[in-house]
Amino acid sequence: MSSPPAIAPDDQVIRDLLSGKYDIEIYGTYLIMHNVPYLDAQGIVCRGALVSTPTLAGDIIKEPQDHTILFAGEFPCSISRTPMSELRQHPSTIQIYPGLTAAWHFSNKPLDATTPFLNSNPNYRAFTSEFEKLTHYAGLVSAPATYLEPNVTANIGTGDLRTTAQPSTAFHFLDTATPRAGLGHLSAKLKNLRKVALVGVGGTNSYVLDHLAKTEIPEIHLYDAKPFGQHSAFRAPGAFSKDDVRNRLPKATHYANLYSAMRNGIIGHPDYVTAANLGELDDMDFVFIAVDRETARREITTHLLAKGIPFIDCGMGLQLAEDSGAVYGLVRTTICTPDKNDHLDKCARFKPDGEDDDLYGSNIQISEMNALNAAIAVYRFKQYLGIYHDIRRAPNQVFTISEGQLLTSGNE
Amino acid sequence: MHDQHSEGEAHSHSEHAHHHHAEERHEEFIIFVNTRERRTHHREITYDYVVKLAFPDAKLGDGESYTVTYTSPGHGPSGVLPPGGKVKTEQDMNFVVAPSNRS
Repeated sequence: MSSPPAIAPDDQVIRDLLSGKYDIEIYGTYLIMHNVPYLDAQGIVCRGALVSTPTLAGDIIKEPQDHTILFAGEFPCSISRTPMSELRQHPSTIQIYPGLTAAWHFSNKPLDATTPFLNSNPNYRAFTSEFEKLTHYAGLVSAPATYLEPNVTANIGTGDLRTTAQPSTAFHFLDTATPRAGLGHLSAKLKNLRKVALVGVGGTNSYVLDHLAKTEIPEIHLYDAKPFGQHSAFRAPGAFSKDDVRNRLPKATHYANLYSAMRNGIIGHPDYVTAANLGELDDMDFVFIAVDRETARREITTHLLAKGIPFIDCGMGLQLAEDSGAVYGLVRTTICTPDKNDHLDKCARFKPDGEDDDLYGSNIQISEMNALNAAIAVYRFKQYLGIYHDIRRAPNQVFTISEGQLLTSGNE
Repeated sequence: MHDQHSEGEAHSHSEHAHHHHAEERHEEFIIFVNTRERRTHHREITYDYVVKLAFPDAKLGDGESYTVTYTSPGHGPSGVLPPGGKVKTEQDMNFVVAPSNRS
């Protein structure tokens, strides 16, 4: 799916830049100024691109909150062929799109002429507009080239916006958080998945969904026939209305409706996963399991292991201390992959079929413990994808409340 | 505060009445299992032992699932004890035994 540019093509800033004959492109939430001349270390005039991530309100460009800017090109030099130290650069490897990678991250601000210098140090001020920001950097970077070659300027545009294929997205409005953090290259790892399933959408997986829904995973399949009840509203992210709890929709349907406000590809299956529909999981790239019934848990994990589908199984056990009445217990997160799954039986054994699931008595669940279990599950999933750094590759992680420790096992 | 008991007191409670070698004399350890203080002479704590302390009715070896963690004060060992596993006992070791099956 493709989406319209996140920045309105008729935004006043865009119109002003185009009137100034700058060569402008909008790509998602990036505002790009192409053909900015600069001198390389050999004194050769080259052209590069300034890449800004404007502060947006919807698709309207606001005053910039970030004074830094990206640059695709070699490092600009002064007429003495020394690097322009005033750019206070850091190297960057952010790929804007195939063929355009920002190699530098610049930081420079305009001089504030209205206040006197203190101790001979000049004062700097924030940019008052995105137009000022782009033209400031364009002037700074191109000044040495224009000094040597007066006819070489950044103002060689046609007056029209460059037409580009816009990035496809699952969202109804663009993710401005990921480019702002410079994490676009990692987002691709989620976008390149096809389908992820959540089996059971109770407390824990509702928080897993909350995190996954805000990534570019194209399809997230929810399985749960249980109605979204009044108690569910107290163990789920977000705030719910009386109608939400009165309607008692199956959880899968309820959450698919809810998250469809923000994006496409949340697919609710108001069914439990049983032998009858287990095969639907064969298509999945990854599965999150958070179910109370251990017979179901065993059936699903056995199937996924046989099919070589990676999964994370979540489960918590909370109890009341006899003397103080305070809650203690643990939160378990276990990942199994085609390469490493021999630990499952040691980390999460399952009762034989037909036993009462309430044998253990305790069914204490508290939203922040559900959320913690979910956060660990999502971080482990992203570690598996290479988004988070990983040294230990711990297949099993158990958080204990009393000690506040995250203990790991499964590699022994 | 839990390690103030004397060696003599510990030995008087020993389950091993007949010592042939000095090294078989077991110190009494105070451990905590699911918040409750317990005294033991076992120099190693096994999965089965600590699960039974926590849940006397547990049907061990029958596929029943409990997650067991242990932590020690200071630089003592901590980790997850798998079924069939054991760990060297430390004073004031804390065990948490719980099914981990709630979603």
